[in-house]
Amino acid sequence: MMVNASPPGTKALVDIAGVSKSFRSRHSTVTALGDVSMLVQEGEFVVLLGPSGCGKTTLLRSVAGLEKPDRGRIEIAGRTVFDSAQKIAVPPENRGLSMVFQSYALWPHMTVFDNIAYPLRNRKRPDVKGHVGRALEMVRCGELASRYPGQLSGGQQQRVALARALASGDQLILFDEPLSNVDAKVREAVRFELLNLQRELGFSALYVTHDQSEATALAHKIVVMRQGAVAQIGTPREVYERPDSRYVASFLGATNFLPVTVSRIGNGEALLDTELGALVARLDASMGELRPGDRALAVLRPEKLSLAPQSAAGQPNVFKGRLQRSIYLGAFSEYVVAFGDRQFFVQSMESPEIAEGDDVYMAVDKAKLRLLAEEDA
Amino acid sequence: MSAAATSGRSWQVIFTVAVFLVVAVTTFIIVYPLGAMVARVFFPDGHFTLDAFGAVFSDAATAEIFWNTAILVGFSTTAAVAIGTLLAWLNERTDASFGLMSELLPLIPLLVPLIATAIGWVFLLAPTGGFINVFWRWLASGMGVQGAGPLFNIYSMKGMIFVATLCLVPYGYLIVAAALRNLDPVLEEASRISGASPARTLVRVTLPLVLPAIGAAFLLTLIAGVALFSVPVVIGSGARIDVVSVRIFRLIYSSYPPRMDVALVLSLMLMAFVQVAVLLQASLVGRGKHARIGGRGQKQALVELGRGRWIARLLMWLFIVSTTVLPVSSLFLVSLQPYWLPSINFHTLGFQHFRTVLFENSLTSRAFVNSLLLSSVGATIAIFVGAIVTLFIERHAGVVARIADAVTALPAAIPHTVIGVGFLLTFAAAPFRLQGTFLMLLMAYLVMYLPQAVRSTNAAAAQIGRDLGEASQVCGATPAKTFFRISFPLMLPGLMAGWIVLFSLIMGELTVSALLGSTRTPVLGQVMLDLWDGGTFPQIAALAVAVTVVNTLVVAGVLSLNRRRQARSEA
Repeated sequence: MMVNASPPGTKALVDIAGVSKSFRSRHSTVTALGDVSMLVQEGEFVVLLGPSGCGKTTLLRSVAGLEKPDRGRIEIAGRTVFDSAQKIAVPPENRGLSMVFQSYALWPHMTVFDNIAYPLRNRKRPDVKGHVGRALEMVRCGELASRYPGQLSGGQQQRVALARALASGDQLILFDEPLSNVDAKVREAVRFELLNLQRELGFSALYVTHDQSEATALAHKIVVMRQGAVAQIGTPREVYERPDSRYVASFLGATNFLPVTVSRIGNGEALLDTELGALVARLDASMGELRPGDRALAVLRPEKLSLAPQSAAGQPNVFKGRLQRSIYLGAFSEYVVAFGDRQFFVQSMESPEIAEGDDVYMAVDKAKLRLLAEEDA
Repeated sequence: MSAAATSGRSWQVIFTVAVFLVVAVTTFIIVYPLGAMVARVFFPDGHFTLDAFGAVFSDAATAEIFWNTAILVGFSTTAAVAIGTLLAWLNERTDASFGLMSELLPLIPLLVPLIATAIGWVFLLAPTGGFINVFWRWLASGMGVQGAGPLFNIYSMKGMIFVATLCLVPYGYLIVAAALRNLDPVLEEASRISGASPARTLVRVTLPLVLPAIGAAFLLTLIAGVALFSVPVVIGSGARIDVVSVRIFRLIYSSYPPRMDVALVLSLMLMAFVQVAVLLQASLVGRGKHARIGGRGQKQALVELGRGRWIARLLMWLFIVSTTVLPVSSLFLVSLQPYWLPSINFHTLGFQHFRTVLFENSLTSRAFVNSLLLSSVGATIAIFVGAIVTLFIERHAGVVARIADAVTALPAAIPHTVIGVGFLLTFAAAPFRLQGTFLMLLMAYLVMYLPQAVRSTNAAAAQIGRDLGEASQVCGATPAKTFFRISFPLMLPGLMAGWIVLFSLIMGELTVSALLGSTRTPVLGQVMLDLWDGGTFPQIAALAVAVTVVNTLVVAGVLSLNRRRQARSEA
């Protein structure tokens, strides 16, 4: 199957505005969502990313209608399905969307065919048989129609659950960590198929996961969540390469942080004082206004750093440290370099051979480091 | 709003109204008789008085009756919970469990009405005519010992405790087994990996985790124990040992004039005692910090008992033999005899008593039909109501749901004797005048077995993940459709399992039946008691065997239906 990279449209399919929700128990109140707003465009694959308890699942279930927010408004395809002010709460069955559950939620007393036909029959669609057949073909499970879910492997159940969501041809499909219950091999295969299907069929997807690589692989847009609020919204490249907070930087991939003080600004570059010595960084508009004397945090991704056993003396942005640990992983290597008490993680595709305990020179590309203003850190 | 949404909403309204009705009616059926009892005792003629208590405490027999009850209930409850816990552990957690028997172990004792178990043991261990004692004396004389006494005299406190223990074991078993089933096996595995032996794991991890359940089992067994009527009425009467539950019955039906006032005081005292026990248990559970039992029992490694496995299996068989096989065999033997004879003469055996009780004696045959009707109708209504309450509580986490939960559990804390006496005082009299009607028996059974019904529907619902219902909703199904297409079919095996338990319980019910039954609407328990009092042993034996056979057929039928349904959807 060819990936037909149809770009997402610019018309909002899901419009979430100011949604809040807290759970009260006898002893405490937990804010699951605090004033969350976001959009899903037509044909867009949006991933809600965050650690467990960040509110991403509550947000998804609120869109589905399985959870009732305390405040806010949710529109799907121009229709208000929830509005606390107008007291509108359309029940899930009338929201016209599909959902893939973490546990798959296949009904064990129905055959695969009946499971997939169920939403079609509920919505009184014609040609149930044809739709079910095509959906099963899409996930390459055509021969399983007459089986019961209990007779399928985990990966097959996964695909059938996906087929059930695809069959009704709804514009919006919600995914609640659908890949977290299958093993790594199957996960990668299904992830690739899901990507192909979404790009080809063009449905909008709202997808919850805590897995950063799943998020970057699937998403047009990632919504990073933190404690019930949106931390950052952007393309996978944006949130990875231009995180605007320490939280986002550390949640997406391994990161080295280095506290810096700005000593000089000029020519679109900043000269920084650090405990390693002077560091030059190229500035970029998204880093905000920096003035000499400002304190900031430098974000140095391990794979953007390079190591060498030797270096010409006096090179800018090259620091001498001691190699503490070197881990060979085949495709690349990981190193731990110590500068006094501070440790840096470095990844290298070249995998230079350096003995542990030896001196090593770490080079920082001035265009590939990012500065976070102190208040974001 | 679309039509579908409106119909969804109206379904919800119907649902809420139904639950509201269940709560209101249950509350009324519980509170009204209890209130009437209190009023009648303290304000017999409109003025406050303690005369009724005076009558009770001036009677010299009162202290003895309470002492007897305490001994009987204390020993049999403790023994029953201990045996029930042991059997539950062996069956749920060790490799001693095997196949179908594991599934049936707790069900088998339910097949035999308690009064039949008690009478069966009398046939076995009565001092002069009991089969075992006769055999024992024959053995002794064969070995040259003349004039040996009985091996065991069932007509004694010990005999009563023994049979009562057998009858009470299933109550504790079911609760502890459910707790063990829900216990995350990882907790035990972690203990084994940390170097603890199976025995140490049992003592240090498993038992402490299910301790609240054992406490609940003890309480429930205690409540069943103080209301236990069949064993003391059969054995205690022969041994001249009176207990409270039997005394209440005798005060109403065997004294002239009936001493309703004294019966009421005794009932209220039973009630008060049970409430103290309930509060005590609640405070004990509330105080301790117990790990939440989580996780669904996945495939768990069973504790290997090694050679102990055969001892464990022997114990399990011993339980089945003594609750069912032995008493039913002796009943069957007596039912074939012209009259109860300690020796077996094959020329005189025949099925004439079965013909008599099933077809010729109109009282027993009508009782059979009535009990069958009451059991099937009662069990069906109770399970239906239970399912509605369960689903409501699952969906609505509000005050109403909590009230519904509490009210439907309330009758579990009322001894059945008290329910019977309360009904007799209120619904049997004006303005209801339901004395001796089918309706009053049905009402009483429904109220007393409602908690059991809700427990089993809760268990049935708990086996279905919430996801399955939610997935159906997201797929565009209305709540009504989700209920009929998803929740109900998936709950069905659990509902049917709950149904057969209720069916068997109502078939063999005696406590309330004896108090509320009449010649207008005879029921099995009450008719068996009459036959026992009249000394028509072979007929009562025939009736008991017939009931056991019917229960067995119904249970086997439903279970095989269940298995066939399940086999279809599993690999």
